[in-house]
Amino acid sequence: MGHFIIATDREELYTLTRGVAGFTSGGLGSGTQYPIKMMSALLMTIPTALVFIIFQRFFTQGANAGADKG
Amino acid sequence: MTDAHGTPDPRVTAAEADALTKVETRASSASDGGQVAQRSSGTKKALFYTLLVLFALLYIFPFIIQLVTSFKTQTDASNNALSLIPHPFTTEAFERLQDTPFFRWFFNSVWVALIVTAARVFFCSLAGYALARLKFRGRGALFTAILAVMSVPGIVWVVERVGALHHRHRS
Repeated sequence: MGHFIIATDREELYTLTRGVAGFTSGGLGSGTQYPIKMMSALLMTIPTALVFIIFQRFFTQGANAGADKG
Repeated sequence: MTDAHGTPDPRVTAAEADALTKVETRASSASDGGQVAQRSSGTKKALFYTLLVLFALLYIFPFIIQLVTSFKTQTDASNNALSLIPHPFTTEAFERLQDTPFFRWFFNSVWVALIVTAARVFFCSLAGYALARLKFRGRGALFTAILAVMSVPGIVWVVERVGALHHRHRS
């Protein structure tokens, strides 16, 4: 699945990880653009972190249920 | 710890019995022990929390660096990578991010995550039900085939994947 997603040349079909990887390897001019890379990584972490914090209770419960069955 | 006839349970090993005695001793010494025990437990607590805070700082440090770096200029970020104060402070990174289709990428990611999750839950529950509950010819062979594919580590496919991408970009 992963390599179908990164196999595109069309910028409008990128996912976040592919786009941020582009900043690392000489996208937007030259060299590694640390500030923009960090900014985008920060922004893409926020929604994921929010979802995790909101549903944290259920995640740990699910993990325990799985562990109980052994 | 004893069964109906009052004989000691053979499953209680010597080590367990020893631990039990220790717990009882500690409980009795705590009840009549008084302030010496309390003070030493307080010091222990302080030490414990100091360690916790230290490790918490250690773990949060990369994220702080990330936050600070996103407000640095490109030259500042590469010259003073570990400084905790951006000098000069700039939102240039955020402005340049708006020139890229960042939010398009964001919705692409959300879309992929939703579709993949929904499809996996749907198809895997169908397949799981069929393999667990239905009797049909070739069920064992099918299950073995699925297990065989699952037991191949993903890294094994790297060469083939790179080959496929390379082929695609040449044509």
